[in-house]
Amino acid sequence: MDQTPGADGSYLAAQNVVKRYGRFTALNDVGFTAARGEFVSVLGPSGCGKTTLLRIVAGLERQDAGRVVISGRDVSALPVSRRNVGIVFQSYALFPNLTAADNVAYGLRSGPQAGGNIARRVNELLSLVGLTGLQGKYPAQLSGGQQQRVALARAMALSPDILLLDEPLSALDAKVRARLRGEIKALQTRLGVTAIMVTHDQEEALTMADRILVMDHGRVVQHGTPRAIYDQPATPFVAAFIGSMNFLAGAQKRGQGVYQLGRRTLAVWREPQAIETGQTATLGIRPEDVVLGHEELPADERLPARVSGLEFRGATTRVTLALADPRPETAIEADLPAARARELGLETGRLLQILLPPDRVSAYQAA
Amino acid sequence: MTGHAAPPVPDQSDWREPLFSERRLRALLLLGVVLWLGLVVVLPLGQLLAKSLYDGSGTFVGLANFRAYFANPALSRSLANSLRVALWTTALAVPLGFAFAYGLTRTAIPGKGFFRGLAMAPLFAPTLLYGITLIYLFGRKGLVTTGFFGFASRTLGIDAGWDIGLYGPVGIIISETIFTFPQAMLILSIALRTTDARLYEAARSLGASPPRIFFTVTLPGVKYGLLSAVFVCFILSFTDFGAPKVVGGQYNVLATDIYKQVIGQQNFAMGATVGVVLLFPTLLAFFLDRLAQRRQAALIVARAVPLPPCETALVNRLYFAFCSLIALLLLIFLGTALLASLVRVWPYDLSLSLRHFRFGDMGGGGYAALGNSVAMAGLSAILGTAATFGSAYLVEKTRGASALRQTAYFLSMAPLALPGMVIGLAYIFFFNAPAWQVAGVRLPSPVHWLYGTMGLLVLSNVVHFYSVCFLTATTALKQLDKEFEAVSESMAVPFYRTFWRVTVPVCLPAVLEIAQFLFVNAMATVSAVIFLYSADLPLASVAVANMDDAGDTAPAAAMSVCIVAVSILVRLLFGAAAARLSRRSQRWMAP
Repeated sequence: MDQTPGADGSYLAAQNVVKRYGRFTALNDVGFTAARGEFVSVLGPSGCGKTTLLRIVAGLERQDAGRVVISGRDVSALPVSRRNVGIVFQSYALFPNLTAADNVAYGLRSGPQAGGNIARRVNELLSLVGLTGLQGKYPAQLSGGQQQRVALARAMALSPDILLLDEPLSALDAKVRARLRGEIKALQTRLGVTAIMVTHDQEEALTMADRILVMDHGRVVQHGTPRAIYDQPATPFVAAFIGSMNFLAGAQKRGQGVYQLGRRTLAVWREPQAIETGQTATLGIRPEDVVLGHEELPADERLPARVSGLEFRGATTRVTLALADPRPETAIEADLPAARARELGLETGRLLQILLPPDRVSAYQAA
Repeated sequence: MTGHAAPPVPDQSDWREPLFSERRLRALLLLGVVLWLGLVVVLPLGQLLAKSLYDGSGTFVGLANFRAYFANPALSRSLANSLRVALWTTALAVPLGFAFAYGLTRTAIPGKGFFRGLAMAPLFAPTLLYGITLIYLFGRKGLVTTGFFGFASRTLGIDAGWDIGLYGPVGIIISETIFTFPQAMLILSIALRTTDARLYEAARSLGASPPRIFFTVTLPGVKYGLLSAVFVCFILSFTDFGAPKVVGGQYNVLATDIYKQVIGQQNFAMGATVGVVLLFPTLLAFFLDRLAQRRQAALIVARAVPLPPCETALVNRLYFAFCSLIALLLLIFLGTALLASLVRVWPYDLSLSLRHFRFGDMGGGGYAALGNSVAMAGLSAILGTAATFGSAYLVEKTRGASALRQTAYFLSMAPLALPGMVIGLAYIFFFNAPAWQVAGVRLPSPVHWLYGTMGLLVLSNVVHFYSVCFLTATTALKQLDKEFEAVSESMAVPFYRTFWRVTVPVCLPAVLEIAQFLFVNAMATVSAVIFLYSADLPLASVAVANMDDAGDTAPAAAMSVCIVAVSILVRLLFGAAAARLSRRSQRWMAP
């Protein structure tokens, strides 16, 4: 973050942004920053305000309060045409009557380049996104992935300060999506452009972003690196939205790192939210962190459970277990690698022992 | 990763919006649309309403004109007559149109292109022609009335003559049915085509019988289309002038009353009063239709599966027979019109000649009138397309400025509720006034110079057909990606360049459709222009009315044939242009 011009070390900053549509508050005091060259992903369910935030950063919508600063310049009152941003829309919005080359060149005509320079720049951009030789094709003649890359080349044509991506991969099928994730990320790193990507796809955010901003109901609920967000989800919402998590309700805090669940006492080392002794809490653990075994597990930590369902998922197996305690019967899910599942010889109805490792369990305030 | 740190001091010089920013320019253009529609729609209409509250000498009399109107049975009977004609026409044209449209969209009958083309043919002719043709078939010396000119009684010894009592409601209703049939057919074809095949599969899988499916799936699916067809047929037949003028006889309707009051008796106050009486049921139908259309928006499913036409062989044969019958009747009808213009002296000398096409010794203006009509239709097509497409673009593709956009939209839809007679009458009052009284001050009218010019004729046509064109343009524009404007804005490309390079080329089929619609309608219309043409600017469609009035029925038929021929020619030219266009754009159209 040493080369950033902002006073606080940020290249792009949105501060206290508020946006209302009539009575509905789409954004409620939202702020975030991005360093130069950073890839930030805004992740959230539909209707959480993430696209509105992107459009406000772009200058396509006017915020009701708050500011947007790009490269040390307050652009809050500027229209999109004067913010020097490149945008890739969800639909790509490629001009159907123009060739790939003309689409990419669309903004160049009014720019500083002229004549032969334009053709050179267009070729450069198209080869950058791996579309050399497709200059003369119309969007309808290109595959979805190719269209996506034309849109990307067009957005980069004017060397924008910020690249804004609005659900750039949602229109593609799964295979192409997985490939393009890597390509876009590599391109962004190579060009060193600061990128903001809006998505509802957690996998996209986890694999591409340097940093993730999780939004819900017009607010930022957590921001941090993908690993931090996944490992230490700040709220049950984040935990459930990114990956999956088991929630065991009705635990009571007995002391530092000690919780009572039913008749058992559990060690819990993670407390993302402040919980006082005596308060009721919900314990969360990700399915892949649940340890399954038999009598070899330490007797004072293991919990008996019965296999109530098995879901074969190829590389992994999801096991649904019924905990005998606390009552009424609590369901918990565990993900096992295929090899481990074979080893345990799992079948429905079988009694097992499970272990919830203290460093993988988080306690949340009871809802 | 600190969320909110102190921001750098903003550079205040960046905050100012340039004087002619895109946003301001667009808002200014939208304001222009609103002002222009205000000038050519709202003010003339206001003038008409005002006129109905004054007497002939310019004294304010309140509702006295309306009291006089309803007190005089000779006048008020026309309201009942118009309603009766409109209701009968609707009751006939909508079922016929429905059956025909059903045959074209839901069955596997052969020759659909031919049937569709033929069913559209009545759209090209002035409604006067239907009246004239009916006279040749069912009039006093008509083919049917005289039993094929006595052929039946001479050879077969039976009296096969059949007098249907053409002059009066019967003739008007038949004419209006032929006139509104293609409109109902078009609306219902669209409604019948946009359905979801999955609904039918679900109904069949649940064991519903064909009649049950028809009443529980088909009819509810097209109910808004049906409503729309009902309103359109009602409005068109309620306000039409041409057919009642020719075959109405002593049976007065509102449209002919306005004409008689204004042109015959120069009673402008009573003309305006009848105009307002004509306007109100039309406005009511218009608002009901709008209401129904708004409901429909919720009904359309984004990913509907198209229904392939499939019916049993028996049903297909029935529909083929029905469509063939309608087609045959239309062919006889059109053939009679052509024959009427070619036969030397109907019914005495049936040899063919072109003498009725020599308009030189007739009133009405002859080929000069036809030339004027072509010029007027051409100008209306060019200027009207630019005006309607441009305003639809501004309304549809501008962000913000919602008050201006809504006003512009409302004003663009308003002409749909205005009968041609009302527009013509309002324009006389508005453009003929040499001065305006504004708050007691006399101002010379800035639009008076248009009176009696080609400009006013073109303007009346553009306004008369504005809404349909505006809707066509809006539909086409809605299909464009809504981010095109945002993309070009983000690249600092001015919106008018994107309009030229992308929006217009992609919407070109719709643009051609609009231009062609304006041309054909401007050629055939009588109602608005009959008040506005001047002696030095005769028009073909008006000439038809005047020649028929003077008893020159055959030349009137000949002139109608000329109008239809020009319209078909232009339509073919447009068709060729569109075909060339689609070949060129095939490269970028989605496969």
